[in-house]
Amino acid sequence: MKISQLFHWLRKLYDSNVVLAIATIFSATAVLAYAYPRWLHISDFDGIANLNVARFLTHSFTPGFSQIGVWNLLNHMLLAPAVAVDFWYTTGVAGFIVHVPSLFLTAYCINRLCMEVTDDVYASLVAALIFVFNPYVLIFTVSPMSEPVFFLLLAASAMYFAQWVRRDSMEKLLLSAACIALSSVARFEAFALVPMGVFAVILTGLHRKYSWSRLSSEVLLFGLIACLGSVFVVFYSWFYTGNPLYFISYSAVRDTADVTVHTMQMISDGWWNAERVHSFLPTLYEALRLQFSLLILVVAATGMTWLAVRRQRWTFLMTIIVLLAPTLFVAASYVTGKRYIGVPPFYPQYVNIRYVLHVGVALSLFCSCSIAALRSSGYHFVRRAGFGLGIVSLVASIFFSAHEFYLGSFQALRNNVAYAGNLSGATSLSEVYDFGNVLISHGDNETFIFESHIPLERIVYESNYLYYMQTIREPWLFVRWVVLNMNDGIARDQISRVFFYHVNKDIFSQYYELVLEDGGRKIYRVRESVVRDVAKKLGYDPKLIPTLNTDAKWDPAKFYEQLKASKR
Amino acid sequence: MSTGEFIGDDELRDGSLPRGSDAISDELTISQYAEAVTRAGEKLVSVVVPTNNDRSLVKKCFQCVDDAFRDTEYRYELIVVDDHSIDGTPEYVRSVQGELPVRLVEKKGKKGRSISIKEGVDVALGNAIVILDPDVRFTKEALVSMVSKLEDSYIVVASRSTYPSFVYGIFSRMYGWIIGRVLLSVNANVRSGIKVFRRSLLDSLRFDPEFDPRLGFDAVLLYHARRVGWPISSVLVQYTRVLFHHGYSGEVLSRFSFAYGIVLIKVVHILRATFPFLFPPPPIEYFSAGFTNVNDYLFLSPAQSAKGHITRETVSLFVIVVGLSLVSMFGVSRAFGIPLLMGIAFGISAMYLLLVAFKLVIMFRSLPAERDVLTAEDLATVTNEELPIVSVLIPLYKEQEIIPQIFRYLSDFDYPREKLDIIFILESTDTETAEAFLAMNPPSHFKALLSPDVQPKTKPKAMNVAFGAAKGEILVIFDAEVLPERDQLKKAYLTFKRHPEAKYLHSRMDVYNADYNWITRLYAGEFCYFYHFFLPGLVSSNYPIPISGHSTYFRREVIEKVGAWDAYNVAEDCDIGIRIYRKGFGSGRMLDTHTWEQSTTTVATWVRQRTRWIQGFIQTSIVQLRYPLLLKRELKTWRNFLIFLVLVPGNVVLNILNIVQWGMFVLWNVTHAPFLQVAYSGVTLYLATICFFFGNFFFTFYSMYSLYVRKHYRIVPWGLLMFAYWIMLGIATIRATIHLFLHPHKWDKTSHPAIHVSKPS
Repeated sequence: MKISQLFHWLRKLYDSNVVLAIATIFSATAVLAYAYPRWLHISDFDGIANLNVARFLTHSFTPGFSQIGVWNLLNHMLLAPAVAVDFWYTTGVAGFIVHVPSLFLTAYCINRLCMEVTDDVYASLVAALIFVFNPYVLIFTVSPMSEPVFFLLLAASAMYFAQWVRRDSMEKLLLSAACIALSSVARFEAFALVPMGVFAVILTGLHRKYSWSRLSSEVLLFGLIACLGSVFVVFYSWFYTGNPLYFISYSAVRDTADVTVHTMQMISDGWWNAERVHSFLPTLYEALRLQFSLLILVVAATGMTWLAVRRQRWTFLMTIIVLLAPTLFVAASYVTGKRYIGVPPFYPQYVNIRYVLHVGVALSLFCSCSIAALRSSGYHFVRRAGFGLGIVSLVASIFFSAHEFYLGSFQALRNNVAYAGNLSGATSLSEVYDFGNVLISHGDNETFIFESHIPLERIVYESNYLYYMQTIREPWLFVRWVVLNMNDGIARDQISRVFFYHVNKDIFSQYYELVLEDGGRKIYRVRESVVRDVAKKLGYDPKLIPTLNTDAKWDPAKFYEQLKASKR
Repeated sequence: MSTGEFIGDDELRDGSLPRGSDAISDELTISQYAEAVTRAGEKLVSVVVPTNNDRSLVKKCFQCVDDAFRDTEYRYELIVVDDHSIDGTPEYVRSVQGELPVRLVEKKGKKGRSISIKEGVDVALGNAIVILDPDVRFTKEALVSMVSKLEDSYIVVASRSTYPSFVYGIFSRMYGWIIGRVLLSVNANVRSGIKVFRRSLLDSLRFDPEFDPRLGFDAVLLYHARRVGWPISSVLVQYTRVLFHHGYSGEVLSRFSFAYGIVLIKVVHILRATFPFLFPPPPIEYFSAGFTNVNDYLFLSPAQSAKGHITRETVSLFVIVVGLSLVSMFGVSRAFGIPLLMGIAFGISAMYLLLVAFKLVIMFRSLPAERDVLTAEDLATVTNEELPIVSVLIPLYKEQEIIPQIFRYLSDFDYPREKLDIIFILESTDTETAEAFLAMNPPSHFKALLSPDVQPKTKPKAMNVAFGAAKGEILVIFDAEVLPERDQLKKAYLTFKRHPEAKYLHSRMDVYNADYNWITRLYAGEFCYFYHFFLPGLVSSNYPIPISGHSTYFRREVIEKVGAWDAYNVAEDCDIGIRIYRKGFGSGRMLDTHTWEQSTTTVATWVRQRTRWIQGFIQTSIVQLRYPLLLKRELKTWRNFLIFLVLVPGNVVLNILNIVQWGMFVLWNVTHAPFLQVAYSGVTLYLATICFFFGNFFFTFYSMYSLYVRKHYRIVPWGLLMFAYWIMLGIATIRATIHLFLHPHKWDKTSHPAIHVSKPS
């Protein structure tokens, strides 16, 4: 076969979607192959929490939607079918299974979005590939984190928005709104999309000289759909916890006392922090440079400048308002010091740079504009330069950021203190655990639960609300094991009640013996003979006591009644 | 000589006819024979003999019959219905045809004595019909005495005086008593081998919905006679049977199958009495008789009309459905250990959710719905010569103010005048409208037709009156207050031409006084949603649908075949849509045109209008569900049947459920009543919550979006108040239910003041 024939054949086969699909599968698989032996794909605490919560939907003491608690539900629901498979759950590969299609669709949306703005097939494809080959994006793609789903919905909402701006098709605007609504139940950053989207709709309406009635009706229809997600979150929090803003507090415990404590803390931080305001842009720059390389940032900045003179600049500007809305949310969160999403300093704690990773969608669009600008030049040389810039940007995005990524501190995550402690304690528990229910609190016990390999159906947890509340009062009747996290941090709040009730009291020591103290955790096992003796003394049927009969299912509302009825 | 119904003229006019055993010659066919007998006033008796491998019996049987009528005033014909004999019975019958007046009927139906008798009776010519088993032997006087008895009776049964043995006699009497007296309550020997009855009874039998010859013709005949009060006589005659000529097993089988038939009759009777809705009447199409009923202009059978209102079928069905629902809910609650209240709440919420889901699916289906866009270029290709005559029916009542507007739009139609057949239907008592009509100096193609002053005084009756006078190939109805697009008729013709399979076309509706006040705004939201999202979705799915009362274009044949409109139904459009679908004409096609309609402008008129519409929906539900299995059969599939349930009765139920659910929600918020905590807990709470939030949201949103699509931008925000509109719908539904009992056929005319007639907004 001649080379020209081969090119001809490839040209016939060429389709940007096929290229993106191959690129997605190839890159994601390569990163998984790298990350899996090093356990990097589940190196993040939140990722493991996502795996657990998703699996609790089907494997729990009380399976069902209530297991999601106040967490954003979309990612958990998407993960649920995958984590129901033991192998995918225990290895953490469930994230890869679910998120690779998300990455492909994100790339597809970026490609179409760039096409709307630049009308350049090549530049659009390169922009999508820049996103697909970004190692930071990829590491989240192979993980169970919620970011890939958010990237997809962000890109999709921007794509539909651009289509609306360009074609004035109301269906596209409503689709964009629907994506915004969905993204709001994927991540809280998406809340900012609603006002910013409305703002862009108003600007576009004014630009088109719509009548006031038409403009208001479009804003109303768009807003009604777009805010569905955030309204749902508020109502859901209200319904689930009694506090509509509970989702802000980062606690899954249905206890208003805890919420009050968190809210008080947040308010005491004040409305803004001057130091953070000054440090935000340098911090953002550092994070973006780290993720996308300096070259990409330069190319993107060029693209933004070029757009000022382009014909589709209105489409571009309005789309950018949508795309950068989550960044505004992050910025507000950062400078005020509030824990809307719990934003910590970005750099050099690489694990948290994900909060601005969504900027990658906008950067890809900017790069596409730069490349398209050069390619549309009338000069042959400049067109070639545009081609070259595309290639260079792509390669740079892969190698420069990969260099930082792989040699950076990401590798150290696995070995950080908290994680090592989790692993050590979990390993110890898995060695001594025989059978029976385990009382454990939420907080940073997620990794511990995941690593200890205890069946989730055996764990009594905050999300098993009635059972949990009953168990922490008299654990010796219900659980053979009690795990207490003694580390400082968020978890203290979660376990304080167990402390409060029992740990320093004689009765707890009477029923439980300390088996292990490892990784900042204390693991207690019930003294079965004591429970049995007490039950015998009081005349209770031991078959009804879950500590003694691990197959016993109890009804919190009737347990004591049944126990008394069994008295001989 | 006294004459019975079956006996013709006494006088013998032609002495040349054969008598007694005179044979029917080849030249004289049986019908000629019968004709001659009738002409001569002879008394012709048809003797039906069912045979099945009875070669050895029939010869003697024929001889007995011939002897019986020899030298009497009666003539007879023997009708042998052979049930696939293989012993040469048919051959024997043919061989004696030259000697006796005997006919051999080749059986067409299934095997069995009853079917044989039925087929024989169907071809019998005599006024008296004898059913005679071939194994019966009787004395010479027996038959004549029985036939003579018909003069003062309808059915005569031979009662035996002797039995071949004492044991056989005991057994036979016991059998006859159980079958006759106990099961059928007939004081006669139902198992008798000789029965005589008047032929005129057959007409009555044919109209008896319970008559089924497969259950035993003679037994059914006796049973029917007892029910309708025909006198049955027993005549004691000496006759005997040739016993066990088909063997013992044959005898047992024969008696068993006879008893089985009787039991079946009884069971069917009980079933009919308990579940009358399972047994539809035979399809009698009164309207096929030329649409000539001038008493009330109803061209449908009573079973197809709301005239009969609530029949025992409806009551029975209602009681059984409600009973079964309650029992099943109670059973489920006991089986799963959940409170009954929760079971009921779950049932309601689940049904509500299904209805909401269905409507959403239909709306999404409407998005890609095929729409025939007809451009001005398309219309320019149509020549005046090819256009058919279109009949435009315009029923008017007390609408003199709006007549100028009607004249304006009708005169403005882009359609040749000579092809327009415009008929104004005026009530004969409405002189104001008639005067206003005449004052406008109507052109020659505007005709006015006075609707007779007979009940019911409804719009469908007026249209039925006009239907006879309409001569167009295409029919359309316009209400007085509507404004169709001027090229609508041409578009209808072109769409019919392009789609010959389409039997009727739906126009899209909009509201021209949409921005008048809050009620017209919400009305517009509802209409735009229905005609731009819901109806196209239904049509594209080819579901049975309630159609619009005006601006729907019909091919004439459709109206003819469905028997026009139900004059007694106050939502005749809903009813005819379902009947059209039952006749196999499908759900029509969307027409690329709009008709602008006037919304009611006050709460009072709105409630009155909705009351009538919903009352019509209830009437349609009642009429169509009189025989649910027949409805299912005609709708072809269970899917269509369910769709009907959802669209017609479901629509009414949904309005009520709205009120119930909203009421529960308010009650819970106000009182936190414990019984509501029980009823709405667990899965029920999820279902009800989904219905409440998502159901209300999506329908509100779609109403707003459809207003946007129709460019009613100013009204879009008003769509947020749609929930108030649904509450009003619930109230109208309750009112409609009350009206159904108080004024079932009253046409509560919606007033359309001319003050709001203006250009479309």
